[in-house]
Amino acid sequence: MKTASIKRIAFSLAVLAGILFLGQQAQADGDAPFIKIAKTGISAEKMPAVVLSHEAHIKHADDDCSVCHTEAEDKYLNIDTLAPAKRQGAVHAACASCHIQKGKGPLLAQCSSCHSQQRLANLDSKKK
Amino acid sequence: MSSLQQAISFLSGTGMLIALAVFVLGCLFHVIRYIGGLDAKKDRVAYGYHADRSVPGIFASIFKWLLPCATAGWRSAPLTTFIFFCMHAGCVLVPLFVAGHVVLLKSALGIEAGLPMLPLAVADVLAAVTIAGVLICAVRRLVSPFQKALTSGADWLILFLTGAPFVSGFLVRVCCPDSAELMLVHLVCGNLFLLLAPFTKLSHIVLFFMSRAQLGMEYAIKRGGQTRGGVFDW
Amino acid sequence: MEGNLCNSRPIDTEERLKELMADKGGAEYYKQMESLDVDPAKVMDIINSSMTSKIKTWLNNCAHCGMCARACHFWLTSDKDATQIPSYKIQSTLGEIIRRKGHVDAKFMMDAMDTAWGKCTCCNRCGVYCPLGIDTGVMMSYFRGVLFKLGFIPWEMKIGSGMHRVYHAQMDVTEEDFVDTCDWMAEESAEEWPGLTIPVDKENADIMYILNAREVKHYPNDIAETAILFHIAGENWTVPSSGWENTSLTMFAGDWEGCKMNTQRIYDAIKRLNPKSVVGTECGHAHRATVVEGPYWCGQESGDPPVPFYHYVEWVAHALREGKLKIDPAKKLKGPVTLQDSCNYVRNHGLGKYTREIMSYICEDFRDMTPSGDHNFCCGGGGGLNGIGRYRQWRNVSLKNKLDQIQNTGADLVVAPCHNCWDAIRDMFEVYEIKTIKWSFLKPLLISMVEIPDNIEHVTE
Repeated sequence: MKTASIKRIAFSLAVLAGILFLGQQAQADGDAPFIKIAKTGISAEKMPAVVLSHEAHIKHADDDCSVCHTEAEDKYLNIDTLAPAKRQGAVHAACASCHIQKGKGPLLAQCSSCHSQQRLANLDSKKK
Repeated sequence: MSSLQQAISFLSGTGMLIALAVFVLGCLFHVIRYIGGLDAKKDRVAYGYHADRSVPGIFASIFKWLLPCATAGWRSAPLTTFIFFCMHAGCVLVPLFVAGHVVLLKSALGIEAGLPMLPLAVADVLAAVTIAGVLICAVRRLVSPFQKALTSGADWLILFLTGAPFVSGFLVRVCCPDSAELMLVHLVCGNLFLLLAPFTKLSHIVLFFMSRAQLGMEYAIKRGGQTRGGVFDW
Repeated sequence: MEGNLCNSRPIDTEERLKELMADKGGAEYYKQMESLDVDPAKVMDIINSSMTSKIKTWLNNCAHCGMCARACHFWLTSDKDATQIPSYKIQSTLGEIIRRKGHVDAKFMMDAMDTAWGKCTCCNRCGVYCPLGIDTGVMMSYFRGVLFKLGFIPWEMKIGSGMHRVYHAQMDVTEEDFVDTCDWMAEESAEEWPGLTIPVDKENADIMYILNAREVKHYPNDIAETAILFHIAGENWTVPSSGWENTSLTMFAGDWEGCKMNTQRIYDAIKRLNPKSVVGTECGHAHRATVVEGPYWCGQESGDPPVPFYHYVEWVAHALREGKLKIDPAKKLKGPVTLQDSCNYVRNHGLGKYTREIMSYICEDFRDMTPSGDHNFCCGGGGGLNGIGRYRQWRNVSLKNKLDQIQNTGADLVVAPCHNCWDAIRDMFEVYEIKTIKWSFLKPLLISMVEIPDNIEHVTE
C-alpha cells in the first residue's frame, strides 16, 4: 500500500472537510434570546458554558415550564440541590433524554452544539 | 430523530460500548495468549526463578523505555524519539481524558465517577501535535532509508486508524462544531480504532509491555543484568 | 535431493567429517545445496514446535521503525544498505518463510543462510536498541537452528558441529592429545617453576579449569601460562580428562542437540570430580554456551550451572582483588590501552565490570572505547563469522566499525580476553594494514607483570 493509496486517503479527507465546512456555514443561528446555563460545576477551560435558545425550549416543552424549572421559575433542573460533583451528570441526563424523546436537539455526543464557544462569545459581547 | 442522529446515538452509546468491550477483551486475550505462550525451556529463560533479579529487571525494562532520555536507544535517535513521544503523548492522553469522551463513557455506563478531564486548550495542542506526528511518521515511511524497505500495509493501516479519529475530532473542534455529519465521521473512526486495534499492530498497546517485560526478565535472569541485581543498563 | 556432502543429517562419524573437510572450501557442498529439497510441512513443523509467543510477537509486532539499524555494525559499515537493517534481515528470512508457510525453494534458503551467518553475528546489540525489546540476534540464532535441521548451513559450520560430535572438541584434539599436552606443558614449565603441576582429574579441587581446543592444538603455551598463574596464586585446581573442552561451534551452527552434548560432558565432569567451581578460559562464546545457555540445554530449571562457573576474567579480577596475584607497579602497562568487550560475556552476562576492574590494576592509561561495556559493538567476527570463507569479504567490511572504535581511543594496545575478538582484531589490522597497534589476551600480560611471592620458587637462567 504505497503512494497511490495515501493520495486517495488524503483526497477523500480533503473533500469531506470541504463539504462539512460548507455545510456548517449554511446553518442558521437559531432563535434569540439565548441564555447561559451556569453553576453546572464545569470550569470554563474544560468546556465553554452551555448557551441555549430559551424560545426553542419553550416551544418544545409545550409551554410546560416545570419540565426544566422543577422547583421555581428562577431555578432549573434541581441544580442548587445537587452536589456540584453530580450536577454535570444530572444535567446531561435531563437534557439528553428530553432531546431523544422529542427527536429534536443535539445528542450528548454533539458536545459543541450545546457548549458552543461561538454562541457564548456572542452572548458575552451582547451583554457588554 | 433523523437517521443521522440515530447513528450518532448508537455509536456514542451502545455501539461505543461494544467497540470498547472488543478492545478490552481483545487486549486481554493478547496478554493471556502471550504469557501462556512463553516456555522457559524453549525460550531458555528461567521465568519462574530469580525473582529478586527479574522483578527489578521488568520494571527497569518497561519504565526506562517510557522516558524519552532514559535509554541509549532513545538517545541514539533524538529526532525520531521526539516525534514518537509527541505523537504517543496525544494518542494516549486525548482519547482517555478529553472532556467529551469522559462524559460519554460515564453516560453510557451509567456511572457518575469518571477520569479527570483535560482543559480544552491542552487537548487541542495535544491533538494537533499528534496529527503532526502521524503525518511526519507517514512521510518518514516514504522517504527514510531506515523505513522505506521495511514498511508494510499493516503499518499504513495503523497510521490511518490512528490519524483518522484525530483529524476528524480536531476538525469538529476547530472548524465545524455544529456539524452532525463530521461528528458521525469522528465516531465511526474512533469506534473503528477500538474494534480493530486488537487485530492489528495496534496490539502493541499491551504487547509493548509484554515484550519489554520478557526481555527485562531475560536480561535479569541470564544476561547482562544478572550482575547488577537484574537492572540492565538500557 | 539430499547429497552425500550436503544434507539435513548432522555429521556424527569421522568418515563423513573427513569426507566433508576434503571438499576444499565446500565447493561441491554448496553445489549440492542448490538441489537440496525444502519440504514446507517439515519447515513449518520445525517452526511450530519450537516457536513461542516470545518470537511470534517479535515478528508480528515489529513497528518497522528502523531504530535497530543504527545499532548494527553491519548496517553502519554498509552505506545505509536497507538489506542490512536487523529487522529487514529477520523479516525477509524467518518472517518470510512463515508468511509463505514454508513454501520456499533452495535458492531462497541459501540466501537466508547467507543472511543468518554472513550478515549477523548474533551479538544482540540490536535488541538493546529496540523500543519493543525485539532481540533480532536471539531470533537469528533461533533461525540458525531451523536452518541446521534443514541442512542449509555454511560448510565450516557443518564441519564445526561435526568436530564436536566426533572429537568432543571444536578441533580434532582427542582426550589423549589433551592430557599429553598438559603433561608436556607441566614438564616444560616445571623447569622454570619448580613444583608446578597441571593436575588431571583431581577430585574436590577448588577450581576445575576448562578451555578451548585451539589452545591445545595451536598454542599450548596458553595452558602453561594458565598453570603458572594458578601456581603463583596458590590455587587448588585441576583439569578434567573428559569434558575439558568449553567451546561450542555447535551453538554458532544452530546444532542444539550438539550443544547439549557438549555442555552435558562438562557437567558430567563436574559430577565426577566435584570441584567447588569451574573457571573457563578467555573465550566469549564458550562462556555463553556453557554458562548462560548451557544450563537450559541440560535441564537445569533454574538456569544456573550445577556449581559456580566463572569466566577467566572473573577469576583474574577476584585474584587481583584478594591479592592472590599482585602486580609489580614498575611493570604495569604505561602506554594507552583499550579493552574489547566481548558480546557473549559482557552484554550477555554483565562481566564488563570485572574486565574494567582488571584494567585498573594492570594499566596506567586506560582508554575505554565509545560506546563501551554493555553497549559496545561486536568485534565483527563473532557468531562463527571469523571462520566462514564464503562471507570473508563481508566480514572484512564490517570490521571497519571496530577498527574505527579502536583507533579513536588512541590506544596502542587492545586487551581482548576472547578468542574470536582476538582473531577479528588480528585480521582487521592485517586487512587494513595497521602496524602500530598491538593486541593481547590477558594471560601473557599478567605473566609479564605479576609479582612472584616468596614461597614460589622461580628459576631464571
